[in-house]
Amino acid sequence: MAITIRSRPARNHLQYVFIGATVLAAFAAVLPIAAGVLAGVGIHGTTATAFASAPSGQYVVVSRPEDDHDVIAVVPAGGGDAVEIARVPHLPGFTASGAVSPNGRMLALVTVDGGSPAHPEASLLVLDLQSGEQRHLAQAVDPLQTATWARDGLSLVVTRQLDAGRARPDVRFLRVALSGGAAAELFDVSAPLGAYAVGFDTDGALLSVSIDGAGSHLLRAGAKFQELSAEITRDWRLNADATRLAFVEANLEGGLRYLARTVRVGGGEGAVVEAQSALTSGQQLGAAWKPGEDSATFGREPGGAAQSSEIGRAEAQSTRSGFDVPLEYAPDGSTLSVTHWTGASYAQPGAASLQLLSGGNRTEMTGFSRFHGWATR
Amino acid sequence: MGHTLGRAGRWTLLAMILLAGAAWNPGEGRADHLACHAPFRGFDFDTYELEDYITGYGQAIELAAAGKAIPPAYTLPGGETIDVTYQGLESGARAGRTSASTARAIPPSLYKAIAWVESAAGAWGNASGSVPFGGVGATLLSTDCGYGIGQITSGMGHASAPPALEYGVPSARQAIIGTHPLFNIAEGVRILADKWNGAPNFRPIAGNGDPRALEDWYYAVWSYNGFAFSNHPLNPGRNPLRGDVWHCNDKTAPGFGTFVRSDYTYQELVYGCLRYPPAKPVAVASAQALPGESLAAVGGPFAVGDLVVVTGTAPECLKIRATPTTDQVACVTDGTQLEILGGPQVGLGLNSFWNVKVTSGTKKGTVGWAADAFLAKYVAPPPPPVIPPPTIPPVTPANRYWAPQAFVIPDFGEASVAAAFTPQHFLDCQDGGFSGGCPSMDFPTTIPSRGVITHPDTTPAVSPGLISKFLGDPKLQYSGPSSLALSVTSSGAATNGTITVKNVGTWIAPFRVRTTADWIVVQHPGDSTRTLDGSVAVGAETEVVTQQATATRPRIAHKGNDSVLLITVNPAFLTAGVGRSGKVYIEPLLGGGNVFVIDVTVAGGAPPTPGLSHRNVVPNVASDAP
Repeated sequence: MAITIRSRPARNHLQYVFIGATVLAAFAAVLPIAAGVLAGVGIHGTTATAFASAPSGQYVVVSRPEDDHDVIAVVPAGGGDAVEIARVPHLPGFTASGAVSPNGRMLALVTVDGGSPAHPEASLLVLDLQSGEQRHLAQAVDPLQTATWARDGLSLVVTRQLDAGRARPDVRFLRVALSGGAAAELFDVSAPLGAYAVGFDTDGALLSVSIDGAGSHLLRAGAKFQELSAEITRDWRLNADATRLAFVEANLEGGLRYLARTVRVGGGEGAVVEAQSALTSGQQLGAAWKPGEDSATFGREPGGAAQSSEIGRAEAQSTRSGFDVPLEYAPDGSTLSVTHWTGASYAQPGAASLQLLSGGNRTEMTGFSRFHGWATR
Repeated sequence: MGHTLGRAGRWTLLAMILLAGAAWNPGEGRADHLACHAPFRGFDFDTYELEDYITGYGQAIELAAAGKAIPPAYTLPGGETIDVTYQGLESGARAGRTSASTARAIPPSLYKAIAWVESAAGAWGNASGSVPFGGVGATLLSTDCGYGIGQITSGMGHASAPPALEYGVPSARQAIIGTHPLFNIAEGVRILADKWNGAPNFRPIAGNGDPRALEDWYYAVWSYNGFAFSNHPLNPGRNPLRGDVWHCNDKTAPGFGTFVRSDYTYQELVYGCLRYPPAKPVAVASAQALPGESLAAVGGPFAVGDLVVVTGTAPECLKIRATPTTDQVACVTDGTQLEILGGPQVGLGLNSFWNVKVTSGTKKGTVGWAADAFLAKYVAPPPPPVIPPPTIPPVTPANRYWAPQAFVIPDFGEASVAAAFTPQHFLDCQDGGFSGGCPSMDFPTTIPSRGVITHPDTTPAVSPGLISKFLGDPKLQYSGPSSLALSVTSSGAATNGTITVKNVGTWIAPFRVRTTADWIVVQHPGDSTRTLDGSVAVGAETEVVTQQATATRPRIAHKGNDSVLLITVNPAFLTAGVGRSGKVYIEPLLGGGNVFVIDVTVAGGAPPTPGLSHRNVVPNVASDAP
């Protein structure tokens, strides 16, 4: 696959190439200095988005993929018009995945802005939701990931494939400071099928999931910590104090079924699985933790198992006209964002829309299809 | 390429760019965003972009997929062999696989979908986006050096010989793949056939390994992009509710408006466009319209006796001509029904024409010839269904690049299918380097208990007579000096000479350009951005578009296209004391014509500098002057 090159540098104008390269080298050499100076000023520039003067409250950060860019916006949780924040460019046909910072003011995006569709290359950038300023923090990161914020919101974790030319490259976890500078190498996972950051425990250790031939494992600070499943897993969500992990197992025994799982995460070395709860029938997708509650919320396929405390709250269950896949609760727990599907099953899911569920009411976020998190004003 | 920068210059530039990259962020390894490992780039090829590209490339793919596109391997006068012949397909399950046979064809719609996904530009194109349909210009070249409509990368490397002829010089095979659309397509088909034939020794088998079954190509398509976990359908980075295939930007297809291309695996992209073929761009169709002959909707092939309808001509009408090359006898509007009496024949503008009889409207009874591009098969209203509606709604075939195909994507609800996709099986397959063919990943594509069957490609057999249309009978002729005495002034200005390469035969005459010295530069006049490695001359029977029609400007075209080559000197690569003479070779790659050799000498330029014979003086940047 390819991106058409419509203009290319003149090969017989080598002098210009040399001049350009020299200027580039000089610019690159002073960039860290300039970045340091700028870091002292902070990223809040003189411009401001409409969000900066919006009424205080809770907002949902969403986006709409268009051909070569994503439209990033915030939508008031209580209803109201969307406020466009920025447009983030990417290769045609791609879209960015995002995560909102713990303080709800920054959006981290992994976006494919280089390479070709066959060999995409992604960057990590952060978007200040109030100023609209975008900054690139890292390049050559894995396209299929969402960045993970540190609990203090001062850094992020992303992964990068090492020697991407190999059939199954090692995956390196990098910690990137919001203030800029070189990424810190945390650890490498050797030749997994996939490795994904999940979050941080209360001691500040990174929890991640590695998938290999034996299934899915939870890693703590890069070391195998506990087995999650003999299968591929997905939709990992830590609760607020990082003591429980909810996830979904793609169980292939007797045919594919997506099954809800929760596991207790120990706070120190040697901790073991306390419980791994599973539903015995039906399928589930998506996981979210309501602040202050012990059970996770999973979305359930219509016609599945009866409601259970194991699978959480009713608002994320099947409805008379389709089903929900939970995304994330608002910080105050009053509202749950979901993807609502109009179909009758996972095999025939129908049409999707982003919706907010609050007090028995549903609000559709028309015009947006990607959810990135909650912001506060 | 490769003759503009001396070897030392290349490495110097590479070192500078790497230095810049390191200085940018010393703590991070940076990805190479430059084309093909800067400072090297892909070869600079020209090509001819078909004007009726939807029908034309569709037919070319059908020929190539059937192994009928190009002649058997042939040897050029210089001794190089061009072999892009179809190797055929193996067939059968793991036990009882039969050897490759050229009688077995690749489902053409499958490769059409691959070409669409690969070209990524929103339209089939062998040339770069700046070249009008029907025009001549630079071949489509991706950042990772994929060439043409098939985005061929395998075997197109330029830094070693083979596959290059020598460092930076394309082999004849590379040059014809880079310049001639039919050879480019044929090479893409060969690569896909290689992936298919990788089973059962180096790839798992889907179904019974029957190349006629679209479902059985699942692993070959996966392999075409790389047998990586990113393309595993259960990759946790992808939404499990995205549907079984990509919507291919069909607004009526499931998932449109919610999911985008990057949400899907490569197989899902290809199979998605197989099910939902892209719609023809109306704006392009009208922009390329000849009066009364605006572009087609569906097109042939048709059989004698077929009923067809006129479509895509409104607000104008379709000319019915006495012969494919003469004036109209009638003009019929959209919706008029015609009966096919014979054809096709190549007519004006190299379009296919069908002998038709008008069977409805005011011109009923008129007999003549009509352009294929505006004819669509008459589809009778479907009978009422006798079985419950299918799970996948039928796809409307009208106005698409190719006919929608039905198939079943691996059904993970079936235990025997799901078992093939466990992480352990995938890992075992990769860890074994695919040795042994990964039998644990085999899965059935026919499951009677679930009503799952395989589906063939419904594309009608291609007419072998089309081969002559796509190969033509090219023959090169040259005008210009066979020796050039060039000079370079002290300020670095160089004189030049011009050679005109003409195709006195028909259709596309591809040729290679190579030089024996770095300082000899071959370009097109007025375009100093490219240093040619290959180009094409187009025969006088073919209209070549220089300006595509839009709502505000007319289509401009002329008959044939000579390739004008400007030979000059890049003084930066004049090595003091040596190498003041060299040669330019212009070598036909297909058809007739001789190799044309131009002896080039240069006077002036860089003065001798003893002891620094390897240095490169870059004008305006460096100097040996005291």
